[in-house]
Amino acid sequence: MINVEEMSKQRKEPKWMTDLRIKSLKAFKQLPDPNFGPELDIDYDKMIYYSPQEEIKSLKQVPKEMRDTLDKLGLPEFEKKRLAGISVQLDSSVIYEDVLKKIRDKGVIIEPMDKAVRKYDWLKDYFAKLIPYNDHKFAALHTALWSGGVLVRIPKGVTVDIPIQTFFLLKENRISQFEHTIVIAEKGSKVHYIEGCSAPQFIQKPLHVGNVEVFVEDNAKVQFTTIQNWTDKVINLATKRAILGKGAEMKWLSASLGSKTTMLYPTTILKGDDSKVENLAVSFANGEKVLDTGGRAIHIGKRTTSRIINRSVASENAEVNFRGKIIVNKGATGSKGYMKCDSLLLSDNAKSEAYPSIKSSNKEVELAHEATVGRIGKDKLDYLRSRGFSEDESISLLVNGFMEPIVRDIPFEYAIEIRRILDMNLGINN
Amino acid sequence: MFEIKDLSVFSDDKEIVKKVNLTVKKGEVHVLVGPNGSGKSTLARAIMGINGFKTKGKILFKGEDISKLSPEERAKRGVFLAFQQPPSIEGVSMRMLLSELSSKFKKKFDTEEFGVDEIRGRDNSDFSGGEKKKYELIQMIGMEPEIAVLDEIDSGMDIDSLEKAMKKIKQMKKTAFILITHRTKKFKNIQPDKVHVMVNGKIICSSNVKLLERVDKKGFGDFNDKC
Repeated sequence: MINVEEMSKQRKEPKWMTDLRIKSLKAFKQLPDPNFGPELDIDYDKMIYYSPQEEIKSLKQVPKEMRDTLDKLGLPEFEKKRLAGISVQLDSSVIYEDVLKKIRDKGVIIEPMDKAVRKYDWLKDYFAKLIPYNDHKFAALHTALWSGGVLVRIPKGVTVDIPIQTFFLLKENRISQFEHTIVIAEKGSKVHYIEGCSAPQFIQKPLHVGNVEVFVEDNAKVQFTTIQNWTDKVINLATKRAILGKGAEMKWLSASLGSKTTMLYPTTILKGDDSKVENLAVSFANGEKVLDTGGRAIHIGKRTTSRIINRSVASENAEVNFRGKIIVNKGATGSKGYMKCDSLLLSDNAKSEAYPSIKSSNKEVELAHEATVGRIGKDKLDYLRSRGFSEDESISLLVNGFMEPIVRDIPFEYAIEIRRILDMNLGINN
Repeated sequence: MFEIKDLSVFSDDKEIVKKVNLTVKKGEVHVLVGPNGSGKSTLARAIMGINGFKTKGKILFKGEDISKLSPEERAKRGVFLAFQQPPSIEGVSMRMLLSELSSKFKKKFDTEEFGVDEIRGRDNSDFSGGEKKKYELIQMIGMEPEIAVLDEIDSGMDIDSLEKAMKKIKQMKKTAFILITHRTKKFKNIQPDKVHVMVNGKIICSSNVKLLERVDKKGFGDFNDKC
């Protein structure tokens, strides 16, 4: 398949990383495919796993079609409007990064992961610690072959008041992307991290296995937002995990709009007393897409709170599924957990299933889950059409309205972009 | 300008509106009254082309039969229906809907007019009955339709707002109105050009404002299927 030892050497990585890659690859070969979720049908031998690329320092050096994509997303515009930082990952290297000086002056570390591994020895205490290399087959594959991604570390008490943004693009055929992202929010700090993913249409069948590890120390707050709009060939298997200290707050916000198949269930370990997690997700699937999303919360500390809220829409022959799990340990007295999944089906062939699961070893807790599946009401369609909107435009308005309670937590520029993507998928040109 | 010819409206093969004829000239104000269940709202919806009703007969708008057109096509030509009970459009705030309408049709909407400016950021699902009606009126005024059907615009509205609405209706000289109600008292001040009484799916009597007084005094029972 690939010689990871050789790859690690080329990348001038420290020994701990080389060793980690070697044992991960071994684990990958031994571990079985997941026994749940969508059919994946991946030919591991035909994938190209890694292609080193020169780093590009300015947007001008980015290939034209990539620049067009970025322009379409208005990213350079964003930057003018006080952006904390953009880094763009093309295939597997971080090619562009521009971070406002004043953020780094506060002691914030924002570094491409490839460099960070060489630069910070302490990283070995974080890397693959929340998602162990042998956690499941794709965690092993990822840890063996990862490249790219970003390290963010916010020092104690520092608030980064503008979102830190990265953008991942897939370009060449059959190249897979295994970026690794780590966010460390030290005690009392605050940060909002946004990742966007996109790929132009010509991609054949790439695999994206991104891992995200978030460490939220005591009383720190992190929002981690993902806008995923891979083309409908990409198999997207992301593993995201966060661990929370005392009084810490985590918010996952995921918008899954693209890919052929997605499996995404951010997991939060509520270790510290009084910690809180909100796991908000919207998915929109059309064509033959299968989006399998949800979230997991593991309550360990006392009085911990979890809310897992999904809103998904499926049209044509697509499928949107929800998997939610709340696990409460014995010591987590006074904790609350709530799961809700609402789906909206736009066609007779669209499908939706909910798999909620609650396991508690403590009786002094409040746990609940709800699930609804609905269709667009004829009366609502009639109303909007009577105001002059076409049927498709009316559906788009209603779909956007359905997702609004979650999308409202996404910065305006991205919310507009989500709207544009939805309209495109619903066949409306604005 | 607007002419309904021998229009029958069917719901599940049941004839709800029976061979109705109605002519509205440019800028006229008509009031259509009738007891509950007489078919007024069904007629209103059939004019807009919603609910998927089957119809027979013609709805002529400036000489064109619009009875087979989609609701959006009718709206674009200048037909407007203010709903008796607008459905909840969750997640689509008043601000968003109005901005979509204004960019699509190059129209302006004034939320100050009926004092609903402060609820602009919300969707209509938790609006009070009166707020819903005001929202309908704001859309109607902004869209500047040539014919507007207002289905029970009076219900849920406080008296001051209703006065204001009546005044506005009189000011909109370019728009013809069909005002539907089952309460007659409130509509006398507006001095409609024509009043029609609908009973059991038929318009059985058409006359001037005096007809409103008669309904007011004697009720719909007085008509007994004829004028």
